[in-house]
Amino acid sequence: MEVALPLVTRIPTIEPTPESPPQHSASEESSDVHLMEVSPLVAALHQTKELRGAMMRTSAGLLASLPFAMSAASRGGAHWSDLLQAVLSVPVGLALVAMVGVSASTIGVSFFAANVSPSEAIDMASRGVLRTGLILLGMAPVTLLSVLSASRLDGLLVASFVWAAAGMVGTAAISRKLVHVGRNHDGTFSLGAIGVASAFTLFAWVFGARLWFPIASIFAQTGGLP
Amino acid sequence: MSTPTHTESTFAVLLRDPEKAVQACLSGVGRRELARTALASFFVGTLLFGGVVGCFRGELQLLFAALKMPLLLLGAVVTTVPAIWALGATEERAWPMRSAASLMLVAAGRAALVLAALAPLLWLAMDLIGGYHLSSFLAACALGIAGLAALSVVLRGMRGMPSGTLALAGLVFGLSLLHSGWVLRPWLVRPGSPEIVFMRTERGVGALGSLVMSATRGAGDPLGYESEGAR
Repeated sequence: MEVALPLVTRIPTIEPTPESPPQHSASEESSDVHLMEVSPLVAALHQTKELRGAMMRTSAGLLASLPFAMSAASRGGAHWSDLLQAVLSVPVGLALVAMVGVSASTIGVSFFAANVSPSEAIDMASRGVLRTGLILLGMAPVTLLSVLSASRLDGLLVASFVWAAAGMVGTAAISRKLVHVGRNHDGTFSLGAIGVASAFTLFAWVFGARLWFPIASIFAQTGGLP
Repeated sequence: MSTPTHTESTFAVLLRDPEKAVQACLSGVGRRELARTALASFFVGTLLFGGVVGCFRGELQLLFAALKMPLLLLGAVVTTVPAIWALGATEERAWPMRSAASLMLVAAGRAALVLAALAPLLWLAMDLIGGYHLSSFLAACALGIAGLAALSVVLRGMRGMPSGTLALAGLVFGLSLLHSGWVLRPWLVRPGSPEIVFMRTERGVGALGSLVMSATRGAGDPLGYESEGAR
């Protein structure tokens, strides 16, 4: 994934403002600051602004979800059309949750006097898709191992757990942002924004569970559970 | 200075100073040497521990278990590295995959050293007590202790991330270890089994279900005399 440029920066987080990560030499290092090598590609995904950055993040997130979808559907015995539906349901579902859910939520928080611009909403959605996609990408190997190792029930449990964990990370990021932008003028959290964020989370979870059916049916088609 | 000095060997850093080892993994300074030492420690420690586990049955199983033990941990490391990297990237830590990989390798190297240290104790316990369920329980405990040593390194490397993310990383490693171990079974070989095989190939039984079943059976008959016919 990364480009091999020996950059170093502080941990634990990237500085939010500059386009390229800051560089520190070893001599500049203080005792309480650690140096960390940085992947320019990941840094660019997080830091690039405006529409170009959002497109990069969304594309990367959707592409990153494919290995997980293929791993989860790798249990043999199902018809190819069912496999295709199962594999495509993951990125399509992610895109739908981001597009429909975030658009509706943005309109929702606007009712509570929150000033959310369309570009901010797109940025929010793209970051949610990227986070979910990265988690799914990282967990694809353990899903494949669990699906191929022994029982159908084990594989289904682990794949469902990964799907839920990724969904939790993605929805938590978007919900936090919704609550943040929907704050009152005095800086306190608005009850309305919290309500909208909760409604978005509920929608994403129910929709995510519905999208999980094609993959769960792959396990059921290979001889019944467990 | 946060990286290993010239006066301190990489083995000493791996064994005694996990903080320096973690900084070397993240910064890239001295990482190659450290990863090489961790890999060597990993293979020596796991081969030794695997051999001791195989001693329960002896004969060919000694060789099989010694060969499979490095594969078990390597499988867990290989499947956990992408997850650790992704969890970091999700928290806006733009570390490259090689940092996550070296961190896991150092963690596995330390775990293997702990396994090597515990191997004589396990050997003695298996020789004195000898029961199947108790021996497998003790081997699992040794793996658990080694896992804690590895986890301390990984958690240092992921410092600053939310506790939920750290718990997720630990859970992924546990699942990987469980399923790698399940794929590569048998380890001790039950006393009632007529033959020794490198890997069991029957399907349909799950690792999670079997774990619960084995724990229930082991609690009722820890020495395994009744259930295994090893009297």
